[in-house]
Amino acid sequence: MEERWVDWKQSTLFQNQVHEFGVECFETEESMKKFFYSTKAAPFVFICPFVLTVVVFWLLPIGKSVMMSFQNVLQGQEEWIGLRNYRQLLNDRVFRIAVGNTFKFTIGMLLLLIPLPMVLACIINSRILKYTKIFKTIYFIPALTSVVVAGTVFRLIFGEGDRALMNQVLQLFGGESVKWLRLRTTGYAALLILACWRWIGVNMMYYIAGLQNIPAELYESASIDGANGFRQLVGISIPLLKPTTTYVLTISINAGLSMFIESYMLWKGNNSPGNIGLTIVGYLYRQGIEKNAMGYASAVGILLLLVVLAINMTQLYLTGFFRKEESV
Amino acid sequence: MKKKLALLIAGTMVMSAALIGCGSGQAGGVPAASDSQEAPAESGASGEAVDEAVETEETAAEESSASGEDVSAIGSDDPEATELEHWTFTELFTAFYADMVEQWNEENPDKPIRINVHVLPYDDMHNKLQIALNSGTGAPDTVDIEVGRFSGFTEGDVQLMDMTEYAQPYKEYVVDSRLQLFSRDDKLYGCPTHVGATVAFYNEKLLGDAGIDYTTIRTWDDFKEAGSKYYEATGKAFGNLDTGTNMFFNLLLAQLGGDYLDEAGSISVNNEKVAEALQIMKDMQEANAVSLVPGGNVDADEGYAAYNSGEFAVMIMPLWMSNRFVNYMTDLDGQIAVAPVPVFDDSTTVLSACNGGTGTAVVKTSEKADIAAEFITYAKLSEYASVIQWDTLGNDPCNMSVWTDASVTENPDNRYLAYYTNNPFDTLNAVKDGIMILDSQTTKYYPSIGNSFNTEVFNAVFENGDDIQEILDIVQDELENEFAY
Repeated sequence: MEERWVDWKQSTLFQNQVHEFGVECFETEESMKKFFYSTKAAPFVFICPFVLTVVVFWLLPIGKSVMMSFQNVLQGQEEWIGLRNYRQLLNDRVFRIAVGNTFKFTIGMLLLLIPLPMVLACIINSRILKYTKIFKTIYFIPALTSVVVAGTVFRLIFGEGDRALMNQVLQLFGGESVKWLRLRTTGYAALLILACWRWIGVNMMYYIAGLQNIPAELYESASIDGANGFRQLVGISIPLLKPTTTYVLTISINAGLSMFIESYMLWKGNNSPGNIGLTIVGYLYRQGIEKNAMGYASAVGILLLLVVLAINMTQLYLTGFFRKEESV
Repeated sequence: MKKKLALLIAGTMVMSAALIGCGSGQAGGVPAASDSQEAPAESGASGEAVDEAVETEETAAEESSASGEDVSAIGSDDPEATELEHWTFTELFTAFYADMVEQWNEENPDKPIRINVHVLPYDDMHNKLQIALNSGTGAPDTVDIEVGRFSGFTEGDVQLMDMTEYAQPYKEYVVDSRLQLFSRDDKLYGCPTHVGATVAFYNEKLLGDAGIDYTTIRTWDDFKEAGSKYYEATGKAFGNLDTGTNMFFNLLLAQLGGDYLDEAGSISVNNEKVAEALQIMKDMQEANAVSLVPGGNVDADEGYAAYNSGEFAVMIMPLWMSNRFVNYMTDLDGQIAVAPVPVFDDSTTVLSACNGGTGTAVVKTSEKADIAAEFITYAKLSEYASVIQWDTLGNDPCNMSVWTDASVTENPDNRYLAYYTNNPFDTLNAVKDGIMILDSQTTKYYPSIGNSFNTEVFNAVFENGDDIQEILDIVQDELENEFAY
């Protein structure tokens, strides 16, 4: 019995069978491997989830929006009306107010939300300060706080009554109570403060990450050459933070142009007195959701998309984002 | 194999990351509490959103936004029972429907009902409904629609059911203008929750201290005079002047026989009557008979606070303010008297105006539309429904037969009756035949008109002191552009 088994194991037939089995196993694995390692197929597989997400959640809705912007959309009816929505939009005074407000907010945000976080990041990243983790946390907490809660609290802080916090502060210095959220300038200031409070920590984090990428030797050699702290900031930190600044600029422009929720919460709704807090997205919401004019709202959305694209593209072009050799 | 798994995990992570992205985008959305509070300002004629929400507003909002949706199944256990899906934006309505379903099943054992009440945040609910009706799938059987959003659902091919026939048995008892508010082309698309009759709330104690007897105020001239006198005596504000809601203004406009439309039904917000009503309010403001309310709206936190601390003595608002008084202005308990609003002279026929509201509608395409309509008209218009409305929510009930029913009007356990120094039903009965709405309130123009007045006109005139005709002309152009086609 034993001998016959040994014979069988040594027979060519057996060897062949084992070999074939092995080859089969190997081939299945090989074909999988081939598939994943193939320079042709693999990239598509890997980008598939992103592409699908973009197509399903971005491209299709945008396409549909473009269509709707040429339609009058009512329940169970979609009527093609050509450029009517756009023509109406050009004559729309409230839309112009919204555009004006949005640009004002965006510019205000850029003026505050780039230099301030950069300076804060430099301070926190330097060795002058102790307990930097605590400061980092404190600055970052607003980003984690719900805007809804924050907006409500800010609304109370900027209340009209004599007992509202800001008015009490004013009274402390002998001032009179101000109707913060009713006047154009103070309303604008309140909105900027809310936006800064919310975003400063996030932008600061980007800058800290950027700063930590700058090799310490540069500072070392600079200090040997006798450069003081300020000189180092201007000569090393700021130029080398350029990629970070480009990124922060891009997202800040986006955040500014698409501002809605801050204004919505601060004025407890989309209808601020005299439309002083109305943004483009707020106007889109008012038309599409509150007034059920989906077609018109789509036109507002498309216009906003074009504006954002134009601004961002120009800005990215100017900062050299598209130049290959400089991309980081 | 491992690679496959790793790929799968990576894929899942990417997808979930993408979804989280969407989620946090929506977290930009807003919770119901603020939405519902925001509604009055937004729609002008509303106030309803907060209206019934009062007590459980915050909790309801939290619950419904936390879980996204909160469903309660109420009614018969009978497997044969008709099951209705109902959407609402106010937690408090769940209890109301529970009462009504129970009563219905008792009275109609042959057609039992079970109702699943879905409580969703204000904006969410209306938006979902809009999408469901536009796309033709996913709509509930019945739904509560806030008046400010109502016109949005009566445009185009209306997907709501005409309930005129079903409301017939109750029609003679129900305040007609209230039904008009939810009707389009004589078709009743929604059943009202309350009358929302605008009345005057006088703080008897404060006025008494200043030597003013509110019962002598009959005309707006009397009102103005009393206001000036009160201001001189106390240095405090008399009546409310809102920039965020047009409820008071609508009343004056209706009393003057004006409207936002011309006779042909086109927008004409710069007409004489509108300017006149604004001028009357402006005059009252200059005479210190009315003063700007903090926050621009009495129906909001700052407004309640101002009244509660005695900074104002009179409020011209709909009677559904009752639940705000009882819940938010507790210091005024036993000080407030309800009286009819002043008139211009004896020839004024408009004694009150309907403001705010929620219309309960039935979705036309529902397979159970017939029984749903039968139930909804019963649950909103019947005498029993009106008693529940008043007792639990403090809303002036639509069914007028309740107004003279002593078991309701003299009910010693009712906390709203206990709050006031006199009986609000006396006022309701006194103005019974003069409760009106503006024709424009049922048109598609109204949400936009209300919006323009609440955001621009009132602020310009009362806050900034701009020229009345000038701002009206601007708004007229704006609205003409909006409805140019």
